Amino acid sequence: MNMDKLTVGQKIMAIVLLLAFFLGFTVILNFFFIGKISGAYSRVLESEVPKLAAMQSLTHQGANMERCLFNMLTIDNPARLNALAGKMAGIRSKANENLMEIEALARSEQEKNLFRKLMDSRQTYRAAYERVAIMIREKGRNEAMNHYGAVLRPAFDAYQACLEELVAQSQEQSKKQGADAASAGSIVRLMSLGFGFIGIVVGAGLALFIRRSITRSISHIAECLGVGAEQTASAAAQVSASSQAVAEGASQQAASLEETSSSLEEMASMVKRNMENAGRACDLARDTRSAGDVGARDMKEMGTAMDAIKQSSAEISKIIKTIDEIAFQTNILALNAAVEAARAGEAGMGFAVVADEVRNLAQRSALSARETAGKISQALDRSENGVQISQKVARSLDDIIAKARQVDELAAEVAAASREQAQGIEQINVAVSQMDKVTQSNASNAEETASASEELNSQTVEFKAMVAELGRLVNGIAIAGGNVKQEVKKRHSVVLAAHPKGNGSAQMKKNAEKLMAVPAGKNNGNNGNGNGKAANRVSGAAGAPLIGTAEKAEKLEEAIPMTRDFSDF
Amino acid sequence: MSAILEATGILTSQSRLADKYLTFALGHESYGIPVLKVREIIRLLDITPIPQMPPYVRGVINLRGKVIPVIDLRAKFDLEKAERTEKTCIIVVRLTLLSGAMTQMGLVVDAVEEVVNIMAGDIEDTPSFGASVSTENILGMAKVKGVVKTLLDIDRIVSGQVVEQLSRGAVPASSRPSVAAMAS
Repeated sequence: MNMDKLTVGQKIMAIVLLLAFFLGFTVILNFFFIGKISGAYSRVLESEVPKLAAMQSLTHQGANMERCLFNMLTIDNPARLNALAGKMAGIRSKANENLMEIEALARSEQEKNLFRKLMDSRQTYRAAYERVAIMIREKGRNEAMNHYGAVLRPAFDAYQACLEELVAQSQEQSKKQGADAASAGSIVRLMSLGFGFIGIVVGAGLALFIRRSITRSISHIAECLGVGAEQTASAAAQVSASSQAVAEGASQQAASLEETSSSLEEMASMVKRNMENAGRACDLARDTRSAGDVGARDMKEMGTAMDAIKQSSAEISKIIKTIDEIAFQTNILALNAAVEAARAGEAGMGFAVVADEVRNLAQRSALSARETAGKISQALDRSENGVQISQKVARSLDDIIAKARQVDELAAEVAAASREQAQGIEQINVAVSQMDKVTQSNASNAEETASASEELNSQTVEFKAMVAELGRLVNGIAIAGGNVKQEVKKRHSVVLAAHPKGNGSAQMKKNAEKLMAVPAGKNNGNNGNGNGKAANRVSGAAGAPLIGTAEKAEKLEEAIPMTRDFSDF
Repeated sequence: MSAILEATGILTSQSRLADKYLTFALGHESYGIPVLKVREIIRLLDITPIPQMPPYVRGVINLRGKVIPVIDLRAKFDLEKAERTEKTCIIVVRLTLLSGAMTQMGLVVDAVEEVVNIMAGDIEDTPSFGASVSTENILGMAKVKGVVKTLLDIDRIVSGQVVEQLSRGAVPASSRPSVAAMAS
């Protein structure tokens, strides 16, 4: 049966319903049978008793009538006779009333037949006595006497017999009703007793069963709550430790944020300086460009100047060539003169000397001209070189200008980037200040969490006590309460002692974690042991329980399937 | 020719050779010819080539109305041809032909150097090897200012049939008696 699945309320409801069913059944039975009894009683009271009374009266009236008739037969006095006649009429009307009453109360067919028979016999009797009355008045008393003896008397007897029969019938009926009522009453008694007993027995059994099941469940729950409280305590300790760590981390973060903020300020000033420098670089690049433009123009002018030099050098070299030519011709002339002088012999000696001098002069002028030409050509080469160099310089200047333009653009870009950087730093500053706020709130939250976890821990201790109380309430013994409480307290105090003086170093945190981790592992590993211990404790504390000791221990172990539930931890 | 030498009174070969020489350059070498053989020095004129002549005969020039043959000494001495420069000159010499006739002839040289008076002590005999000129055309070797100059016997160099024909063909007949008169 799946009683375990029902709630406590449902179980109790089931008992109540069952008992109510029994009660209701009994009540219905009682109602039915008592109704039956009362019906029989009322029938007797309402029908049979008045009927009997009427019959009694009728019998009485018959007797009166008989007496009156007898009187009539015996009395001669007419006045008396008339009075007797009146009296007889009164009796008759009364008998009629009684008869009507009986007719009204007659129910069964048998009764009605009997009544009809009665009425017939009465009719016969009535006719007989009226005849008698008439005979008395008309024929005399003897004849009346005879008639009375012959007719009236048997008629009256028949009438009386019928009446007696009816009375007997009525009595029979009353007796029968009484017997019915008596039998119903005995049945009611028996059934009430039987159902009441069955109800009590079943109710008690169910109550016992439900009590057992509820106790079992509550014990299980209490055990689980105890373990849960232990877990909660350790978790609270962990939360406390980690919130401490978070608080320290938050303070470190705050310090870092302060450093970051100062660095950001430095950066901002540097960026500003960068921006200014970039602007200056921009100006310088512009100056460089204009200077380069001027240089390029100057270089062009220098090129034209070089060209002019080249031209004039070419002219000079032409002149020099002419001089050289002249010198050469002079040399030849001098040589011819020397030849002539030699041919002239002694007379040409002086002329030969002059010719020699002229030739020397010519040679010197040729030499000078050659030297000048060399110089000029050298100058030309140099000026050519200069032109080339100036062209190179012009190219370099162009390069410089291009580079300066690039530098200008780059400097502008750098300036723009610096501006954006400055804006970015401003945003970062805002973000850092927000982070600072968040960090501070984190720190306060962590502290709150720590205090809350401590609160939770104390609550857990109370919770443990309550669990123990619950166990005691259910089974009369404490379920693993005190032990766990002490353990948790010890652990918590260790963690708390380890933390306040710590500076949030990783070592401390590690220690705390180790402290937290070891007991949990113990719990995990010693599941079997714990089970055994619990069983022992239960068996040792047996005495109060309703069920036997061994059975109880067994049941508890069954009810608290630790191995199953704890394997998840 | 020997008559002329004897007439000047130079007996030994060295002392006979001691005289004024006109030196000129031909390639890297320097040569000298007796100044008395030289008629004049002119700049290089336009030379009119003459067909069917040996390669060393460049042609003829018109020297103040006189047509004289021109010989390229480079070609004559089997040196490689040189470009004409500003210094290239023609030395007009007066020659005594083998027939005894006198004639004028132009010699194309690279450059005219100077007129030097060479002492007898500076002149040495012709060595028997090493020159591009056959030794019979050389009078001797002269040392002038540390440089050896070859003294050429210009009469012997510029001789032979061709020159004869040239001078005959080139020199007008009217001038021939005067040459003969000078030679005598």
